[in-house]
Amino acid sequence: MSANEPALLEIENLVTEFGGGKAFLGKQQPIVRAVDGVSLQLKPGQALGLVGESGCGKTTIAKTALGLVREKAGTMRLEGRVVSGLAPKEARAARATIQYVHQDPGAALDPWWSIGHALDEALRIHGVSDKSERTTRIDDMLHAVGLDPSFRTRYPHELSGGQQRRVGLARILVLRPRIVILDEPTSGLDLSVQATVLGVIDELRRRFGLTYLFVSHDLSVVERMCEEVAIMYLGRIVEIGPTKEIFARPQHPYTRALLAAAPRLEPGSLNDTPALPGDPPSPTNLVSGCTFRPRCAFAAPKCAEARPPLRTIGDKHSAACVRLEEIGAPTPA
Amino acid sequence: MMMGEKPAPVLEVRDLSVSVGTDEGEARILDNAGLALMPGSIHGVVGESGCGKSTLIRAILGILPKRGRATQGSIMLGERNLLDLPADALQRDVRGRAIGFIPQDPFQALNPVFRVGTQLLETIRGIGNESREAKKAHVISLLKAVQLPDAEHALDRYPHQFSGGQRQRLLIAAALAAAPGIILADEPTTALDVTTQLQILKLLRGLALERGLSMLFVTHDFGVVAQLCDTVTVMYAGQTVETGPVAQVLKAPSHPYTQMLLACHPERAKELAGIPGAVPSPLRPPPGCRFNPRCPSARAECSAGQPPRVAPQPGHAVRCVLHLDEAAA
Repeated sequence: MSANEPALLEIENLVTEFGGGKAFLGKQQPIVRAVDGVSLQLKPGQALGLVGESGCGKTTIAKTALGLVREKAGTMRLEGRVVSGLAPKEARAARATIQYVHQDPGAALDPWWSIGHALDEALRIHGVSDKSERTTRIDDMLHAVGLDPSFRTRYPHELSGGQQRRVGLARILVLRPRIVILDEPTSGLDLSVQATVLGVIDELRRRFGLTYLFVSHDLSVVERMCEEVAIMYLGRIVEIGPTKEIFARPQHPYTRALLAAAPRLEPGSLNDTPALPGDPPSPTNLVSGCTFRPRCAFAAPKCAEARPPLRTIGDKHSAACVRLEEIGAPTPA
Repeated sequence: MMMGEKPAPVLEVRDLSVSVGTDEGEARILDNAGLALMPGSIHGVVGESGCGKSTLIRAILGILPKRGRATQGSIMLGERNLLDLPADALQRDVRGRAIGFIPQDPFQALNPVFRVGTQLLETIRGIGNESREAKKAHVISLLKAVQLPDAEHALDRYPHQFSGGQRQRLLIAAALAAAPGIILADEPTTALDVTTQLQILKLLRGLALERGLSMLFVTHDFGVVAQLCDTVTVMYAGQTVETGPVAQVLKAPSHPYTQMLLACHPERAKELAGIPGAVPSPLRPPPGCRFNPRCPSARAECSAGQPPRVAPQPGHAVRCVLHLDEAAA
């Protein structure tokens, strides 16, 4: 992957809002800006991690990119073609090379349908009319995710959590997407099963040359799986760059706090790590300027003035904080 | 950790086996499980789903499922075996009194239709003979101790008016209400984000130190064990396979299962492969060491009987035949 290679997917100033409607005889609903001016690029073959805590908008970005949720503003270019500003149905059609692996494939699979039936339906919907071709593709894909073709006749309840994840992957990959959005692909799995599933995900990326948008709240998983990572707080990207660089030298105060809070296999780190005060504020009632400032140890009056732009601070590394120079280098973790 | 004379554990589980009747037969959920909670320490219990860590907690609290019973062993709270206590004595002296409990899910453990104050005062009903006002003051002081914002007015509010982290603080306050010396916590931070989790772990650590609490902390996350705990017990399929100081177990795990599990952690994994095979069903557990069908170093004697308890270092115990040779050498 070279630096000048054109992006496969380019998202610019994406805004997604919810609410704002009025219930029958009800009062006006507040508008929630779940994604607030996000820009990012996916290069072919890359895995970009999207990290943040509950409610930060990472799943909404995924759903907007997919076309399931309509963007309020912003541009999306897929393979150089503008695919934003379309009605939902057309948007989804234009973005067919983007596929989404559901967080809990156990819930996404129909309990009455065998695995083969579920995979077959996906292919039929996407216009593969030749039955023998469908069967070959299904068997090949089951094999690729490490399942025996005999799984075609099994039902979802007969599968373990790890096997369900594999079927979830197979069902998407059988459609031959270029970009796969993985939404918390290992949440709720045990450590030993998680390792297996992550191994499969990594192997499939190499084998099929896939591009991943990897949504997760687990920092150690993202560190392991993604070359680049974007850290989100309340609908905005506060820091983005190469994973190694960000984990070694986090710049934004939120990134620093998030990385410090993540449990690592180092005994007794608890006393040296300061906890962030309070909870993330409600997204309906945001403060001016930097939305992290009510919880930030480095907040100053100028943080309230304007929304801090993402500033380049190194090779492909940017952070949205106006006080980076003043707060100095982060203490080594 | 402990110096000089070895103090007696405040809570000790000895060779505990628990079976639960199911429609398909006896499920042997715990098999010769043992652990010792030392005074003033935070002891982690870690393992994957189905390893019996929650059943262990339920056995200690005397709230096993209807068809569940302890078939062997004892649970010693000081001089008393909790398994011999009648139900009313458990309710009067143990649950909530000697042993406080912090549940896993702060979103489900509170009743949405009652005020927080009602629910917290309920936990100390019939304890002591202070006036209702004095009890209220006591609960408010607890809410301050768990650093709940605006503690004075919290009692009149409903659970939905609190965030997840705040609700977990309410539940910690409830566990502390009757001033127990022992706290059992069942994955209390699993539902929380990492920055909130850090707040809660720091709070628990501070409260334990301040009040001299001993804590049994159940989790599936080795990272949390590393952050919070002094000692740890690793469980697999109902057996306690390894116990020791956290730093030692993380640095030099001795049981093959602990070694393989830690090698699956994204921080440590050389290649992402997992552990071959699956956890056995408690309906038909393998004989002897329950890990033996998946263990690369298994030998004939592994399935012959209960694995022996070997101590590679003082305070560090492993139940594995492989360490017998080292101990003998």
